[in-house]
Amino acid sequence: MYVIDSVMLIIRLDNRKIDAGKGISQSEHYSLNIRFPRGQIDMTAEQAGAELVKMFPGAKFLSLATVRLRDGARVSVDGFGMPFKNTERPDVEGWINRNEPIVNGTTLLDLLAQREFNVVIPLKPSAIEFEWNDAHLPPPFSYPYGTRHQWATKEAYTKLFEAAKGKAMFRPAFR
Amino acid sequence: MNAKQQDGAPATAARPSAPVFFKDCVLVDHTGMPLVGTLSGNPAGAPRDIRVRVISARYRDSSPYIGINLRFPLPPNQASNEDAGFGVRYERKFTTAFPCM
Repeated sequence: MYVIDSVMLIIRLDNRKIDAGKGISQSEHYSLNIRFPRGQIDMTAEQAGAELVKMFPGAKFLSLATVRLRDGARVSVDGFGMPFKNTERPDVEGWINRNEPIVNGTTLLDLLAQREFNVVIPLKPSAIEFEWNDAHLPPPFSYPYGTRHQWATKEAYTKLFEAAKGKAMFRPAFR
Repeated sequence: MNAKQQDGAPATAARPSAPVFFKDCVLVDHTGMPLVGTLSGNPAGAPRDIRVRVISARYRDSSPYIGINLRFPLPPNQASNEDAGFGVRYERKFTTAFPCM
């Protein structure tokens, strides 16, 4: 996993430059990414209700965004199940290694296995629909080599060789 | 879901703000009760050092996705991780914001 990661690092350098001198440093967190399956979710974003606003008095503007997985769709979780130990913080180790409740009886697996994700975000609904929307992502990644890589017939080779013959050819060395 | 699309504007007209967009948020359950994440506190009493963010990773050189990033605290030096033989986690520091890993 780490080897692949370092390869990605090189590939991604074009749009994310590493800060010289502090490229790699010890991580301060165990990070999990919940990835929603593209095109298989329904999203809504609306202004948060009064109850939610009351709970977060500091925030300027709150919206409630809901992501529902369509039938058969599943999220993928990056980073889940990596070996982990944290004796300094047994509570963190408990949440991650032993699936102990984090808050009000909710465990990490409960969070990840949801079919409907509700998030409160301090943004306007229009901004959420603009920024956090799978319809606005770049096209799915694929290498630009096409998908047909087999030669169906012998004729395909013959045609290719005929078409690719150069002007300067070797003199036949035997008859 | 998108108002702009319903107005007839193509989705490609949208110009996202950054290669990777992220914003702190709070996960709530279907009744609106907060679970994890912090925005000026967490009313449910969830640990404040669990950070939750929404992500829109608009990669062109790997699979783009939208999702939610959860971060749990690791102690300095990750001594217990190292002692257990799991190694120490490192992360890359980018000049442009890179929220995950």
